[in-house]
Amino acid sequence: MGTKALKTTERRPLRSHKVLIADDQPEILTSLRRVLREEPYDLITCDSASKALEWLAENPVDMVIADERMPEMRGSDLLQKVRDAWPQTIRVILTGYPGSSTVAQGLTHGIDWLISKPWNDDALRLTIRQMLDDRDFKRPASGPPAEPVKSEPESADFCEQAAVPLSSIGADGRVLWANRAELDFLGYSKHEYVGKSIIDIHADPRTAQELLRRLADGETVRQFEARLRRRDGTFVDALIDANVRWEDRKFVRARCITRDNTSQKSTEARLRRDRDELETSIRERTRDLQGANDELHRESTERQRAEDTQRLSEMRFRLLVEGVKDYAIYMLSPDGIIVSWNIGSERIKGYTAEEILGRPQSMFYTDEDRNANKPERLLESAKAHGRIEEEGWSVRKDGSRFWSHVVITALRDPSGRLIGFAKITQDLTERRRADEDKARLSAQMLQGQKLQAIGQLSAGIAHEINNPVGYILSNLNTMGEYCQDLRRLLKVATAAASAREKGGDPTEALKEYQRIAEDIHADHLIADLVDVVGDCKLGGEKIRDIVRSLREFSHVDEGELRPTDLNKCLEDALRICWNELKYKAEVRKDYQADLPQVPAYPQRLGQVFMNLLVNAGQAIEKRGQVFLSTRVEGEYAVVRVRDTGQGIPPEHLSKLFEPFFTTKEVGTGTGLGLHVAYKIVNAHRGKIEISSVVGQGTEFTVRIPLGGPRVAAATEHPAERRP
Amino acid sequence: MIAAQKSEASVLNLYHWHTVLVVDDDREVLAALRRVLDREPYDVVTTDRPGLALDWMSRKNISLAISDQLMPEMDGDRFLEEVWKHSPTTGRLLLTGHPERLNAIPASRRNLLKVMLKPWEDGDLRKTIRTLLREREGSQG
Repeated sequence: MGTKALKTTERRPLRSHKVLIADDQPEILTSLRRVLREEPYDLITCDSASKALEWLAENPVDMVIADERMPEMRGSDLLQKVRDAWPQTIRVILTGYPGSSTVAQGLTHGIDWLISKPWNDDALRLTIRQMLDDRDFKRPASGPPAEPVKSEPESADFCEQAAVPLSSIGADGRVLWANRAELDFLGYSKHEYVGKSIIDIHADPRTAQELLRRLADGETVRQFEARLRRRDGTFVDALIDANVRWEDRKFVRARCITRDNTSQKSTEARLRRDRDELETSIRERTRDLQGANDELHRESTERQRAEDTQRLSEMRFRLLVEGVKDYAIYMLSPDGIIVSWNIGSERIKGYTAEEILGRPQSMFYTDEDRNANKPERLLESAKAHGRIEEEGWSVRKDGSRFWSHVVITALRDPSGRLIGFAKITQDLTERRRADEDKARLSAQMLQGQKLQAIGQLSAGIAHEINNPVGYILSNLNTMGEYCQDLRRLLKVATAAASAREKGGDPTEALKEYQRIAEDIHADHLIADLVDVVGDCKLGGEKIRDIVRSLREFSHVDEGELRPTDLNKCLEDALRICWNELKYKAEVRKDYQADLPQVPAYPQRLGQVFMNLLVNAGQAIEKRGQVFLSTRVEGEYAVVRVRDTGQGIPPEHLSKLFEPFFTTKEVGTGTGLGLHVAYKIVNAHRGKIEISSVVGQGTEFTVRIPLGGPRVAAATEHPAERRP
Repeated sequence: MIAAQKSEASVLNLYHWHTVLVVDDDREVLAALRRVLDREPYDVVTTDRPGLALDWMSRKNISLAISDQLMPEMDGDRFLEEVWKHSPTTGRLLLTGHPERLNAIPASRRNLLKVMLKPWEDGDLRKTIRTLLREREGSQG
């Protein structure tokens, strides 16, 4: 890039241009002055739009560069005024907001170009030069005949009385005006001369035509030789200097200065004769050389033009990159030093170009990454593979972190030598947050459905607990009564024993003992005591199991796979749903006793089985059967839940796993149960299948991969499938 | 017979010998109920099969039928309605853990029921049963 920029300095413009810059910030003006210091044009800087207009009123310039955001007048408005008053002036807007609508509108309404802040110095220099050059070589469209010149009081006298012949000519070649000296020179009266075509004045009409053509091409004609015809018919040799005043690309008039060339001409004529002879011989000898030279020149011109085109496209590309705000786009040297910086980089990372250029890119990484030499490794990898993509944490200037997506591309010159890296960084923090939110919502949905299902089962679960609580409490009461009875018996027995110890007669006490023993049915009581304790224990265990299953269920999975016994998982689910099934269905179990444990999320699978069991119970209208089985089939542990319920109509089968699909009454189901079952089984990389016959029943088959989700994911690829 | 029970009995003395039928699908519940009522002044028969109970009704004079509400074979209120059809003079007591579900029972059937909640309190249960048996004795003259 540097070499290209230097090359343009060789190309000098035809004349010195004037460029006016208006910006309300003095530091911007200073900075621009510094950047454009070496450039081959005059620079005028104004710190306000009004000052710029003041200057322009007195001094025409070739280009006005205006900052868009100025307090008293927007740059685009200033340029509008410039356009109205001096249409030939190149109008450039300088803006930190290339996307803003006023600027975008400006580009279609008379603003020639846009420079975005912060600008790139090379690009800025190139742009300005390119536009000045473009204008110099611009071929203006020829317009209709211009109106006669209006008299300009301040200079009218000067022009009219000047000692040099002056005239102005319209686009059609007719004289619009001529001063006294011009009329005297050619011997015409003003009345005769104005309106005459110069073709009639030139001795050779071809010189008149050539002059007009060159003027129409926008050329400033100097020392144009012509032989003019005086009014008296004599000829005079003249030199003409002329250029055209353009307004809105319209040829208004050509300003011509004509000088007498006669005296010079006669000496010249002699010299020329001698010279011509010499030249003729030289020209003949050098013709071949000249031909070759011309060829070379043409080629070089073409190359120059091609380079210009390329430079322009590079410049536009650079401006485009610089204007990108949503991506940090910057270049690194081969050793990771930052060498360019766009506005998106500043926005995303927080550093300005001045702060960051020349510093190592490793500063964008976290301390952990830096300590692990990640920045260096990524560049090495990009160097080896050409291009790498990466997501990870990046650090902003203020130390905050953001989740970034980074593409690093190695840049090589045509010979293959590494010249640096292009790095594009996108801030994905928002997207990552959205992804996390989505995952959290999904997890909340699963958990919510589970809690809701348990809520709906809670009455049944309460009943399951209530029954044992009822008989345990009653049995404890009974035991209390038994204890009272036994204490009575023990009291009499103690009395009898002490009577005998004291040598007394225990007979009476023993009779009392006998009577009480019969009264309290002591034999039955002692025997029943064992049963009472046994029943209480059984009831307590039932409650314990239900609570355990419930806790197993409402527990939120930590998202970790655990070796899971599907038989136990199914039993837990059955215990929670038992009250929904036991009054309607005979439950038959056919479990494979040695079913291997599978890596799974046990609570989640329990939720699946719970949903299937509740569905089975609800499918049975009066009384039926539910068959549960577990098996190993192929690479899957398979759980089947079959009911002899009403079955599912074929048209509903395809929608069964869709969320909120339900045929149940409001309040009975949410329509989420089977959707959740599907999602959970999917998360295990398992399969859930359904077969149903209306009037006969439904069977759900759940297949969970024996190797767990990861192995299943790997084997899904046909090439890696095991035999 | 213990003192406490005697005092209750003195308040609610029964003049006839009664048979009380208890139906519940839970065998542990039945055992507990039997223990509560074992030494009360009436016979207690228990079964977990409502159908079997109805069969007994046709062979034996039952003064009071006590039933659980939720049973696989037949709901308690339905069973007690059958009891009423077989023997209109038999008292009926529904024992339920889900009083809120009773709203689903048709009012005509519900109004004829005496309802007690599970878990029961032994003393309350004994007293309620005696009261119902006394009502039977009164209605029978």
